Amino acid sequence: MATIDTSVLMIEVSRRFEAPPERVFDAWLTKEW
Amino acid sequence: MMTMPDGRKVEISGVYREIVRAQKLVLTWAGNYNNRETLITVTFRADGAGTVMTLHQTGFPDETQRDRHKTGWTGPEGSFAKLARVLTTDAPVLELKRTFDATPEHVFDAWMKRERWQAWIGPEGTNSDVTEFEPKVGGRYRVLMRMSDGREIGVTGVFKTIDRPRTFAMTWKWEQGEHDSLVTLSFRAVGNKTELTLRHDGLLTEENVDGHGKGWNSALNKLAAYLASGH
Repeated sequence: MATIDTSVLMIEVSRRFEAPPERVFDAWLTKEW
Repeated sequence: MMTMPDGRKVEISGVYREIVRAQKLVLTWAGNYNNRETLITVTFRADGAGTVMTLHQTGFPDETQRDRHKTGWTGPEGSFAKLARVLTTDAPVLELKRTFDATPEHVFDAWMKRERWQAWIGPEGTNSDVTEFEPKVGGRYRVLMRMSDGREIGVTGVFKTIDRPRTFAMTWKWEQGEHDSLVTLSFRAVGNKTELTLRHDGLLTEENVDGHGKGWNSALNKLAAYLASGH
């Protein structure tokens, strides 16, 4: 029986934004993007 | 509802599981294309005047779904690119211009020489000590402002760019405040005078922009008087 290695079924990505943490965070709750 | 690059309409639904402002966000995420729920954890870390955002998403049924989501977040037209545009477009910015009767070198040095900066930095009615000063890229500074009512307020930061006499930039953080902002100064010769442009990014709100605008205008009044007195 085939098995799936679930450890590879994830994403981890990072990016730097030119804005302070409060603005980046608030964009998740208040902005359509 | 999202419109995908191929024109498909996709409905996303989910639930917020944890909200810690400016630090962490945990939410579920499911598209109506497979109704498979994934879990997203987003963390936010201050990096100078910016933020490093890390997104961790688990629960994909297969590698195809994982790779599609990754492209959706980080591709050229992905969500991160859109977020960067939103943050740039909507950011409130303070920009002031002031002309001084002195050369760009002289005005530049009024900021980048410790004793000269200390003589005028801070709004009218304050006296300041520059208690830390490393005038090099990556160097730190600290200004302690004494208000007329006796309160002391510190501001700290790091010099990010120094290009005498054209420009310099420094992060700016009130010691009782939450976050860094960025102050960029540009010096342009206009005849025998210097036009100074002060740009302050990362102030978050229009109210904060107004408050800092009053403070910087007042400080620039002190700088003008300082230069006019022969210093």
